[in-house]
Amino acid sequence: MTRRGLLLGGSALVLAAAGGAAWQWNLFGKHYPPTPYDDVLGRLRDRDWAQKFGAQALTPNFRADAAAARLRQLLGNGDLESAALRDTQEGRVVEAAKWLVPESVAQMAMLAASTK
Amino acid sequence: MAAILDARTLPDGETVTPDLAIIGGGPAGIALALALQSTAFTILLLEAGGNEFDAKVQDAYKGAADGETPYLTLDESRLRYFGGSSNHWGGWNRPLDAVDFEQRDWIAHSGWPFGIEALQPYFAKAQALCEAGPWLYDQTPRRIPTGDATLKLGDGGVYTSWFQFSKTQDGGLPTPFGKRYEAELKAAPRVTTWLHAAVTGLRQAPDARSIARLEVQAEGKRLTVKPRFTVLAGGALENARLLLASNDVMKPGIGNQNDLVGRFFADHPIPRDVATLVLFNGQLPKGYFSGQGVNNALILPDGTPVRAVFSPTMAFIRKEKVIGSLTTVEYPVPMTAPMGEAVAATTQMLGVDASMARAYSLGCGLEPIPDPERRVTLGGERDGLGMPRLKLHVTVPDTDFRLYRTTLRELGRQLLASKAGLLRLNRASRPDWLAGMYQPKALPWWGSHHMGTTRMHADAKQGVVDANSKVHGVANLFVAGSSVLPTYGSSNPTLNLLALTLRLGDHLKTVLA
Repeated sequence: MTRRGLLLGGSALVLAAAGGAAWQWNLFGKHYPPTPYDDVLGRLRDRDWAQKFGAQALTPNFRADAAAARLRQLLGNGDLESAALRDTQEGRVVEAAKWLVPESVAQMAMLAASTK
Repeated sequence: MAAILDARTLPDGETVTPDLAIIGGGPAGIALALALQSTAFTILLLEAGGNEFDAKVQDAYKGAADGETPYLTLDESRLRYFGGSSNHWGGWNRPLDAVDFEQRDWIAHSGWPFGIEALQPYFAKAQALCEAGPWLYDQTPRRIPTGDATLKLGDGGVYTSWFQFSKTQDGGLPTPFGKRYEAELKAAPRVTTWLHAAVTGLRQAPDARSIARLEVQAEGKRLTVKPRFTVLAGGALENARLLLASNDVMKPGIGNQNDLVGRFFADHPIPRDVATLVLFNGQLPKGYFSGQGVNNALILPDGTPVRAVFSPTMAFIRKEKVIGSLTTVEYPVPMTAPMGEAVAATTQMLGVDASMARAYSLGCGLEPIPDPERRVTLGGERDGLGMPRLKLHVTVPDTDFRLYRTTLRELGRQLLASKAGLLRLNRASRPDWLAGMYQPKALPWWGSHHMGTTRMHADAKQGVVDANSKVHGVANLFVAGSSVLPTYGSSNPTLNLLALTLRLGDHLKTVLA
């Protein structure tokens, strides 16, 4: 093996390791302060949009603990998309900022907004 | 004696004795005359106006409307000349639904004395009179007749139904009955039409059991008609006015022994911007914007425009105890920042791409709930013919709005279930809803569909006319038109009142013989 080949191979390995680390720990993604509801909020693809919509929908009597508990019930071990679709099929559609949305979507958005 | 005559040219004091007098040359009166033209009976069709609009004649329609909810002035929501209000109608046609005829325990005073099957034999002819193309409507739910796709909705209580429009004539108006059927009336050997012949009184026999004669005024001339039978076909406001004002024998007015004439007036509230519809892919299927003169209209092969609307299914109406309604897509609206946030958040959570999303404003037409307090009465003021002018009291109950909202929620749920779109409910409180009907310096949003002032019921204590449209207690007086509707549905009335009138025509053939 030439010295040049060794250097190129080593560089490739370092880059691959760095990429892997960035993917594994989401080094370049947006990070949020920890909350007691991260097991639920972690299922959001984009928390920023949820927070913006949730801010429109938040009501004074909103309780984050109750919302998180309800979301754990609605989500089970599945993903948010499945839970939202199940909500619509089973009639759990609610008004949030006048929009008719699946209950899990409304709860998730308001929970995200409440932790901002 | 077949002809269309200007009654002002007749000799003063003229008296005629036709078998049947029809008061009112609008769609109902014209349809009835045509339906009976091939019988052996002589028919006189009396129209208060001439062939064209005349402000002086129209003045007789002026009246007062009061109540918490503003209404159209009484002379702008109807027309007093040959063809009647078909001279300014929109040509929207859709049959009533079977549920509209049922007695519904959640709607007081609802139900007809018969079911839709009694009208079904007459719909084809009524459709032909309206020139609204082949009878399609809801025969193949979820598919527009051309085969184009409808908006994808999840399973549920709302489906895509459609209107069929009357053919537009040279002037751009859909089927104006006077002009359209003038030649046929002229050719009918036993039908005579008098124009400028305003009936100002129905005079009863002393025992009040029959109509002896009609008093007619033709610009100062007094004419008399002594028919064997009379049909009132002047529209829901004028029918009530004539019955109430003809009170020389029966003091409360003809047919009003139970204080029902003029009560149960109804019109379709048509609030605007009831909801905002966001379609995630931005693609509104063809047909939801259709209508006469509308770009991107959906046209049947024979040239009939159709318009897709959202309607609750009959099963949903019965199960959820709602009213009938027809929700229309009205116009695109800009996507605001808060709207964009709601759409982005929801679609991300639903796993849907909304990069092409577009928003539309929705309107609706609501079935009015029968209400005896919504009524016309005679006022103190008189018109140029000496007839008392009308007073109209109108209101829209909260129940209408609340029940319709249940249907909108179902539509929103079905849009989400199919991942097609999202609905924002723009009206919640009563002031919200009323704001959707009344804007400053604009006409209030009503259908101008006058109905219900001589309602049909088998029991004389609950209706002015019986199941055959005969006035209870008066042997030779009938009523045609939407004033007999006891429950109204959400469909526009013309097609339906014509079917009802053709049914009356068949009955009269037996009665007159």
